[in-house]
Amino acid sequence: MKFFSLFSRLGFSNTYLVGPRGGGDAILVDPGVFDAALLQAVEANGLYVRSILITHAHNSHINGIRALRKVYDSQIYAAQPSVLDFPARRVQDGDRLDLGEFSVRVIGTPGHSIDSLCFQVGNLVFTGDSLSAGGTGTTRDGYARGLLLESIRRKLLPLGDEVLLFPGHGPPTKVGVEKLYNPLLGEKL
Amino acid sequence: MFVSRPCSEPSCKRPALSGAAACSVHLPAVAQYVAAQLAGRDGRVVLEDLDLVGVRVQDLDLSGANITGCRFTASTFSRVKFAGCQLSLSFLDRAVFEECDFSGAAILNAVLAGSRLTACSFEDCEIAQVNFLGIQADRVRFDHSNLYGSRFIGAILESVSMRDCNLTRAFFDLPHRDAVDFRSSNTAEAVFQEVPA
Repeated sequence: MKFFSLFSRLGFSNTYLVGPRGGGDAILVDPGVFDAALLQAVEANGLYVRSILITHAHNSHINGIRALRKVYDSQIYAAQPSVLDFPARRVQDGDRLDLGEFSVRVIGTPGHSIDSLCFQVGNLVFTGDSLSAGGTGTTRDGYARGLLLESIRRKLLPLGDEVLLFPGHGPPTKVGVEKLYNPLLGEKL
Repeated sequence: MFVSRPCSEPSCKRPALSGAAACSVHLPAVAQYVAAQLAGRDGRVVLEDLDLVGVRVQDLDLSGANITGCRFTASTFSRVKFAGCQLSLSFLDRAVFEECDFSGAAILNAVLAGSRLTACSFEDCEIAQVNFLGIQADRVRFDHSNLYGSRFIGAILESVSMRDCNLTRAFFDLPHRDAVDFRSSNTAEAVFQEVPA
């Protein structure tokens, strides 16, 4: 697997590119921006952005879609039927997607937004704004906070300590690291 | 990115070392094997997608190495030179670093969480979005480095120097802030004791 992390100064967000080692159809997660660095990573590795996964439709995670769709004929997968007026295939918790050589598991983690999703590809989980290194996503109220913590505890933490987490903002982390050092995960609901 | 495979030893739960059938405990002549894995070719060290959990490396010069997509979880590095290396998308969590020199390195999107660092230098480094959660650092220098977006939540820092650093969007949750020398660093751009969202 070829794997790249790209940083966008617009919204300080991370975009992730997953593709076959020998080139071919790739997956892009949360294109907050589509810039020369991302285009270079795609083209230099013989990849084609066939699928776009959206963890949640906040601007810092989707703004690159307009430019991206001018270059690549990509299918968008999101919790909504459309993203920035582009049609998307709706996905929800428990869905499995076969995208090229990758099998993607959809994990619903509502709270930061009511329809927030995480995507698991092998040992990698893209957590959007649900869980970051030492933190969690912001929430609108106590109910949403409870939903978020519950979904993290019930769906992400049991995945295994060595599962790698790639958040929408900030550095990567691991499930085991968050269990030990994330001060928010001990909050009472 | 590295691929994890189980050790061939029955009942062992450790991952096998890259290219080998067994883990760091069950592989015969493991030191020689690790040395061969970390050796350069044509005068250049490129470590890509290696899974070397629980290995011990000492007195090795990895200056200028390009390290990406690797896992060195729970490994021990003693007197290893990482000066000027490029380290990205790699996992060096729960590791031990003793007298290691990272000066001039570019460390991007890496995880050193839970590691113990003693008498190490990270001076003049690009350290962007690095996970230092829960590290224990004693006599470690980060002077003149860019620590943009790195996170030190739950870290225990003693005699740590962060002079003249860029701390923009760096997160600190330090029980003993006095033990860190932040002189000439932009602490106003950092976040102290506020857990990130």
